Amino acid sequence: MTDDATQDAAADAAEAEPALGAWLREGRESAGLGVEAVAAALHLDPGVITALESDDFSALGAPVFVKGHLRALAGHVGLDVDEAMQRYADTVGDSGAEPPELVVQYQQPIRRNRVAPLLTLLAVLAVVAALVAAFLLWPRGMETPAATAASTTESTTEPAVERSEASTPGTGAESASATTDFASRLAEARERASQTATEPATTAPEPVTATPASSVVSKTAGLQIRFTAECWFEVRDAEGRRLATGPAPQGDSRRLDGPRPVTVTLGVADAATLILDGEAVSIPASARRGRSARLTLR
Amino acid sequence: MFKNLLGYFSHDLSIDLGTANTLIFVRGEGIVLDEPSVVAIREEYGSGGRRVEAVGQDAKNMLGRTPGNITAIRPLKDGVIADFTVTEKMLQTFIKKVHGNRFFTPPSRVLICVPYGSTQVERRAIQESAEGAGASKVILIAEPMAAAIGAGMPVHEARGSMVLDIGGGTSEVAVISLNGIVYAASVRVGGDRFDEAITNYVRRNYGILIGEATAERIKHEIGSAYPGTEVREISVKGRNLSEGVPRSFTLNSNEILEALQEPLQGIVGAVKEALEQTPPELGADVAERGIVLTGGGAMLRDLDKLLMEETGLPVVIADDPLTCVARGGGRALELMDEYGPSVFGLN
Repeated sequence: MTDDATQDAAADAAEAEPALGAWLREGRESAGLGVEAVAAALHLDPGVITALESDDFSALGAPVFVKGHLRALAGHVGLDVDEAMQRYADTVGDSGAEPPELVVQYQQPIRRNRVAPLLTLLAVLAVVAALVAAFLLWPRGMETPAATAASTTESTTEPAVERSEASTPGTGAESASATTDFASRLAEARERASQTATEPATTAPEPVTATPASSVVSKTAGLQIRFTAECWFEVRDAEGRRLATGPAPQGDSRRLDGPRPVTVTLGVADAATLILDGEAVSIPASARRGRSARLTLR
Repeated sequence: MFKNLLGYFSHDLSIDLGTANTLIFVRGEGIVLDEPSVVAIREEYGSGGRRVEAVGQDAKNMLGRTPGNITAIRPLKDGVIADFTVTEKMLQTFIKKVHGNRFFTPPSRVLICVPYGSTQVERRAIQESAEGAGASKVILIAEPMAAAIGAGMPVHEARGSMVLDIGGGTSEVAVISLNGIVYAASVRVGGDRFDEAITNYVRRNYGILIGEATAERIKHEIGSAYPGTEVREISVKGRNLSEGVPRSFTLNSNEILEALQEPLQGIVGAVKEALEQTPPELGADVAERGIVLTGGGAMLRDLDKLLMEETGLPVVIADDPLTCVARGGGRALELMDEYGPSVFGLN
């Protein structure tokens, strides 16, 4: 029923408005021009005019030529060019007026790996996600044990170092004799410091107050450096913190404490004597780099 | 690897970097920019520096009307770069305009249409200027090829198709078959030469000096390439050279036809030369289907009639001839994606 109605409507429209070809022919005839005359004027083959007047556009090639010839013919016979173009568009529809598709006959398409770019994208996203995760988790994961250890050792060692540095005289002979009662003062200082550290730190897993002084000594290194000549030096503890650095004058003596192992760098290896926990340490040949030396004391 | 990744977000542009107008076509969006290739430069007093004052239509409105410290210039001449730095600035502005106010501007693969007759040095200048303007990759394509594709000609067929692209600075004629150029020639005659011819005619015959913009208006309104039945007139104003004061006068279409004879004969000569040089098989195809006109110059009234009479071949004007080159470049980019730049590319 509906189809019939549509067909009727289309038939009525066709009756009301002649097809493009017929319209062109009528226009040409009413202008009193023959096919040959029009073809000669437009420098076209008469077959082109006939094809246009019989709606056989496929014989004329790409739409650019059909439209061009149509425009020229309509203009020549006195028809409205815009109306001719409109009728052409109605006749062929949208697809008919499309330019021809570009084709490459004698060349192979480039083989593209379609998966590789996606994998690349995924890889980059994974790396970004890993970096973000590391950034978010790193400080918490690393800080908890390190921070507690650092806080306890700092609280126990720093006052001792300060006191030792404060009480260390600048000249050589006196300092040698003075260092002997350093150990006893140091032990006292540590005890005081560990008491103050443990009083608020009730949640600490291992209370330092219970630990005897000897066990504190075993965790930290008590290092004494005596300089027999002017020398640059640097001492770092197990956490990489710099305990002391700089040039030391001849005869100077430094007492340093920090978590083991302690890394010592000496500008002139022969200009210093190292004493670790009361025992002299010889600088092995493997630790020497020319005049300087770098060694780790465990 | 990173380049591949950025390719996902990249924006492919086809640019018709013309002497008169620059058009940019974006895949999937169509023609997004159509501006005159004009840049206004301001000279900074004291510092001695130069600053871009306006680009495109704004700069064109200034042509011939600028104060001493502003110069409105066309950085391209005869289809090639005359001022490298200014061209780069102009392209930069246009590309930025196309991208709008995006937070992230993706790297653009840019296809630029260059005159077939341009030298390697001229092509290199265009390429470097586009790279300087922010293009991640620059592909060059011959203008007549882009024009033929944009006009919808069957360039891939084993059949000769002749295209005549009349731009602002050059006119390019080419015979194309199987996606390649069989014969092409470029003559440095285009819309600018038409304007110049009109200016010279008016000065010679009326003793009146008219500006570039006025000459262009005369061409658009009453310009004609072939004598018609109707004679049109236009009233214009210019400076009388003997009196030194502005005067108004009237020109008609037949006078302009006479003025345009010399540049028109240059174009007709190039087409005839192309037909002589075309292999006979392809010449027969051209004779059967006709010559297709593209470019802004194709809009000159009755130019198709002139060529028809001069060559004895059918001549058709492409739809929207002004944008054929940019549109053709866009379509060529699609094919280059699949087959590589060697399909149409010059570099």
